[in-house]
Amino acid sequence: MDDIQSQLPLREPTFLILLSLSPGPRHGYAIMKAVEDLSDGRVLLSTGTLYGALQRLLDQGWIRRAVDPQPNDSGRERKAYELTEPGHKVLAAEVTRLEKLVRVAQAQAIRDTQ
Amino acid sequence: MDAERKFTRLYGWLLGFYPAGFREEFGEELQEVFAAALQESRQSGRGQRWQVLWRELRDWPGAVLQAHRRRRRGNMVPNETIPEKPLPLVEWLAALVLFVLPIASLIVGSAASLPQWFVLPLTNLVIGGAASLPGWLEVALVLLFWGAALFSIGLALFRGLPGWSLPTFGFVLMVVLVFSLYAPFGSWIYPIFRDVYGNQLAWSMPVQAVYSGIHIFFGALSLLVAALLLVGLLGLLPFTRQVWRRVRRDWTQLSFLLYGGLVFYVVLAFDEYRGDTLWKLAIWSSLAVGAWLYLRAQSPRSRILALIGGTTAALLLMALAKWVLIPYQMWPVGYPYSPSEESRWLETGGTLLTWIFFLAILVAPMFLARLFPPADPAPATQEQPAHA
Repeated sequence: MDDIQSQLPLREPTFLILLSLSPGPRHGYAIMKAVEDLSDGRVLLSTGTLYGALQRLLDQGWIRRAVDPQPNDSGRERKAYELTEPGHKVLAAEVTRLEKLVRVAQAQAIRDTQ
Repeated sequence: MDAERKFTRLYGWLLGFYPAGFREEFGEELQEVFAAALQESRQSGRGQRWQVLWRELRDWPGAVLQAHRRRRRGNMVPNETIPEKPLPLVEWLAALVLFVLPIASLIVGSAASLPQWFVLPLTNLVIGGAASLPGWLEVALVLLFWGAALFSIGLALFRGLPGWSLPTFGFVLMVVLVFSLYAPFGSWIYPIFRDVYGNQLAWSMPVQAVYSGIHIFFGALSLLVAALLLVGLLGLLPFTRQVWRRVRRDWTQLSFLLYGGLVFYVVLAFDEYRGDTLWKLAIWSSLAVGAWLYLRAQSPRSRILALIGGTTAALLLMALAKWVLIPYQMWPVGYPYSPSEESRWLETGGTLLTWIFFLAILVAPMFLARLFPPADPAPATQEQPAHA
């Protein structure tokens, strides 16, 4: 657990990439689109940034390669990525951290308005 | 559409600035994603397409630098998290042929030859040999052994000399090195050894021990240098270049190659010995177990530990065997060694020295890998198992 805590906080693109993979495996372009959607169009990843992050996450063992559940039109198997067990744990830990942060901020906001 | 093709070509050119390992692993995907982004932007208008291009150009220098930084950092530590593909059964069997064949042939040979006897440790009990085998069975077994060896070599060639086949090179190198001692050019490589061989008995024991130590040291060093030259040479040939690349990515493969040399060293070490059959069986079995553990190991550290374990068990058994067996030898007068107490100490001590020097050359590739990091680190994918 301490090991996971030492990895937090995650940078926003990392968090969004992990979040985009939480429903299941996705290929590179689907991750890019999901990150854009999840951030309401605020975080737009370039291919270089995306794959740099994917390489780092692979090295860290937070994601692994998987078979793409949606093959493209040519029917050729595309490379996809999915969360590993440590990846799920890190994502869950970051969500918990953010929830706590939001709770503290909301409590403070309520106090300020009273 | 033409413009898109031009942009895709330009993008492909820009990819050339990434490290080769990164390109190999992600290049195709990067191009696919870029093409998809460009295609989608076409439907949203020209402005959107320029946004995609601007984003790519803006992030490109940082992404390239980041990838190069990661490559350099990746070289500092062995990649412990490479997931391994299990070796197919047929390759397992082919990989172990080199280690199992001597055991099988020794068992058959002992059963077939009548005047075999064993000297067991502690009890010094002498056991008679078994009965000879029928002729047809001997022929069948010889064919089986040759078939297994040829099958292993053939499969290794067919599969592009994968990591599991490298010990065979070590075995051949050891044979070549040993015979080079007695070849005309051997006198140039080992000037002192050829000239003095057979005269050591005239020397005092400390001088003999030093001679033996130097001999063993140069033998181990020669094996390491020969292995490096061989792997380097394989790297120059188009058909075998991948062997060099794999060794650069996983330095334990070079150690595994050297480990194969020990299989022949057992034959050499017990040259002119009698009563060594059980010992050799135990020693070759230790080497086989080490090889088996190596092939099963998931990380470079456990791979090298498997080789160190196999080498240690084999050479300590060999030292013990010599200590026990020498008093029972009947070497002729004038032979460089005699079944004396002196020979007992020298042979046993020499084997222990061999153990130390061999461990040194087994771990040497690790230091060489740190001194000369590979240009491209191992991609952390399932496509490149370390032993394949």
